[in-house]
Amino acid sequence: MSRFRIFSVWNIVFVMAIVVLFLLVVYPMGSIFQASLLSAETGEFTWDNYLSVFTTKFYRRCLWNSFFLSALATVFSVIIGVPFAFLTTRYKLPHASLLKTLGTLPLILPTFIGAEAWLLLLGRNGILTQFFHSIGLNTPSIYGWQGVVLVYTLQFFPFVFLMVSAAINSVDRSLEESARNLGASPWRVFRTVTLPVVTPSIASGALIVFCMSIENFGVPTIIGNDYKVLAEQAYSEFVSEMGGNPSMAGALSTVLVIITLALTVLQKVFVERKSYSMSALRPPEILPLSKWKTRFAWLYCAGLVFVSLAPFLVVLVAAVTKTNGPVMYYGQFSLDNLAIALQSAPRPILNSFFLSTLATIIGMFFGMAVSYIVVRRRGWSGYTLDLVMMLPLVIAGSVLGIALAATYNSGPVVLTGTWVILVLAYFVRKTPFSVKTTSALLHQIDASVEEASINLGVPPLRSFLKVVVPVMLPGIISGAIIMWVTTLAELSSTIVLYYGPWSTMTVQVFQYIGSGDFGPASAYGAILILSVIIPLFLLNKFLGRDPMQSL
Amino acid sequence: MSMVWNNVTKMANGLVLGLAALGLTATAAVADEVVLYSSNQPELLDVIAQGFKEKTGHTMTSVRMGTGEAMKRIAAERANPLCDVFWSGDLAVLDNAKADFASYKSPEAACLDAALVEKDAKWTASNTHLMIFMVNTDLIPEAEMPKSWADLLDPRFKGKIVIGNPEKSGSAYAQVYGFYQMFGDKGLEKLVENATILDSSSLVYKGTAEGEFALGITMEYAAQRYVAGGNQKIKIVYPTDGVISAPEGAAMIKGCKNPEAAKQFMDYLLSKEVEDMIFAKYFRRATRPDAAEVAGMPATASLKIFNVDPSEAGNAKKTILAKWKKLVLNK
Repeated sequence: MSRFRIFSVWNIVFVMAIVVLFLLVVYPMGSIFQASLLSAETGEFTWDNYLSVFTTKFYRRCLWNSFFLSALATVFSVIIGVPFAFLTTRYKLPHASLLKTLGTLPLILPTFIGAEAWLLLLGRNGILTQFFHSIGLNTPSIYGWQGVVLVYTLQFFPFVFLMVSAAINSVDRSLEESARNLGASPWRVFRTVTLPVVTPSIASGALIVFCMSIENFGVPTIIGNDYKVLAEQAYSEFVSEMGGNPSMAGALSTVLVIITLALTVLQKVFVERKSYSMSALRPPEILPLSKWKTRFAWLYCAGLVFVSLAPFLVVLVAAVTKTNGPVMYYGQFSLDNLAIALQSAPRPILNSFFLSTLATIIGMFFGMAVSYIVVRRRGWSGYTLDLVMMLPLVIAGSVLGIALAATYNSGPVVLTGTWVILVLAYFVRKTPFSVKTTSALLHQIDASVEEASINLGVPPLRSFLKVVVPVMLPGIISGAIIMWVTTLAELSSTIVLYYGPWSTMTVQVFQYIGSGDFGPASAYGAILILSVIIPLFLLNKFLGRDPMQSL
Repeated sequence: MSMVWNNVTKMANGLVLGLAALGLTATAAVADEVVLYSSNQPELLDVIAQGFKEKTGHTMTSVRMGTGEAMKRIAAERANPLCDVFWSGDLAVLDNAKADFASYKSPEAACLDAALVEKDAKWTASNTHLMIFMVNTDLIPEAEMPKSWADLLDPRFKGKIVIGNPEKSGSAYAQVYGFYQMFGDKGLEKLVENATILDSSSLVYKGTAEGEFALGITMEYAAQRYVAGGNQKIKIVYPTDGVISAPEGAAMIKGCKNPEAAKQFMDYLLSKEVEDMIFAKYFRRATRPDAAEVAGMPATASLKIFNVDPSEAGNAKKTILAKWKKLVLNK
């Protein structure tokens, strides 16, 4: 009887979740795929859009550029991220935990702000460029693929670092100790014990970096100049001033999704199978280094953190720098741009907070229910839900934005051009984070505890709220904060979906960078950075946890 | 922990309530308020709103969006127009959308050239963009600057010129259209050979200001912002063989909710006082023949102007862009 009751409640929740995800993910993606198979002129079935992606010189170049940029960024992220993980996790370094926390920060700061900051530093008129010129050094231009790779690498390497350091921590101390006791050299231990455990995590980290790079369009738009990538073309075909081509946008989007999806599947098949699941009872010991090695290691880690966070200091400084139109006067300060952003044009700031908060609240409850079903219901239903829920992670934000905008701009429910569609896009894109942080904790409580409560006569929903939710709470809070800050920083779907009065901080920054006004761009950028960092700082301080590490 | 959580929820609740209220007031239409869809920058719109309120007592609320997007929205809202006036967009784009506009000939438009008011007064030109050469003197010394379009075609400028993509940008199309009228097929071929094409028209002036490019073909106001801002490397060349002029206009929406206030707003926008202010502060040249001059900028009368006729430019678009594309793809 009681089992039946549990399922009747959760069945409804399950069906609702599936319907919501179908309407917001599966159906829009299906319709964008359908559009890609129709001719833009005649509306008849055709493969032409796909053919032209692969046969037109221009699109072929975009495709190649996308791969090239993402591959380089991935390689560099691994090269700098893996040593950072080892050094901060395995060795005794001063302030290692602070370094680790700071090392995750680039993840939550919007990539296009990083791009803007590097322009301010290394652009033709950049602060560093001018300095180098004054000492007779002629630095190369940051415009083009070099700049894009630089920004991707510095902003995405934390994915590699986080994955790897988690894997290092999962190697039980006894394994390495026994290898050593059996007479293996430290190098051999590293090669035969540590490395095999860590390799899958490097691959997972690398995959995330690759996917994040290939779907990004803000950075190439800002500093790529005429180095064009696929994600950018999908967007510009969709919102062209001179009339775009929705079929072509559909084809480009589908190609992008197929690339990221294929890589994710490959990773699941080849890498996860090789991963060693163990829970380290005793995490590996933290080794001391000689004095000089400590200095070098520390210099490397602190230097990396400094370089990857420097852009954000630059934005904060630029926000209070005097400007006259598009011309910046470094060294002279003024609060005008901040005052304009906060006083005469605060609407985008309020919009950002409103939309993020609403999406987070909805996502929090939805995520709670979904992770419960996914964890408690093994078998096809839980598996399907998990799969559909995680799907948005491999869909570029601009692509999902295009899909939603195209699907809901006519028919019985018109959402395009309203703020509701922004909330829905944010919700569906960010809830996977909440599901991840919550379900990790949910795995730890046995279903029997809850069943006992139900058997004692407490209705299932109340049992859930009284028994399960308290255990999930830390995960729910971490998930909510991650959702909130990443939504605030979200550009790719916003730029496609926002209209007039519902412009957000990210749109403002992007547009001001677009027209060359770095002063106001930095003012909104600084407000955005502070609104993202402060909640994380508070969370870290009061809950003693770094939400990024729970992902 | 639960205390923190409670506080967080309380804060969040307050925020949502406050913001929801804001959202409501923004969507509820007030009777005698002019709603403007506009592609212009927010500071300018603020100034206009303030001035209009002082002059007429009416409120003006602006919703900012690109011209293309605005035309799409106005068309979508045909049954229930949510906006009263649109300002300012390329005349060719406005001409295309004129079925959605109401006829209104403002008394302020009486002084305008006949070509600057649609024949049924569906749109009225308010200001015009002059297409100029923006030169970074770090890369091209003042003495070597080209003086005319004809100079630009000289092989010595090969690789030094940037222009926007006319397939993607309205202003770049106006430049290419005007140039084609003056120089024909041969000239177009040479221009494509010498120029680097950038997808976004803003990259042209930004890159030139930064010193990434030597010479950008761009709009006067965009370059003048750098000159006025104090970037001493930037010089503006008004080509002697023809400064292409692409006017922008305002239009009243057909069936709009507040036609009387909308008419007053059009009058206000087109008035000498406002047009002069916009030219002096935002460097958008007024279309009025009686417009005041601005120090440091040449008077319109002193330039050889090539006027772009919006409907002819619109008609020729397909052919010219096809020619352009062919040249670019074979480059």
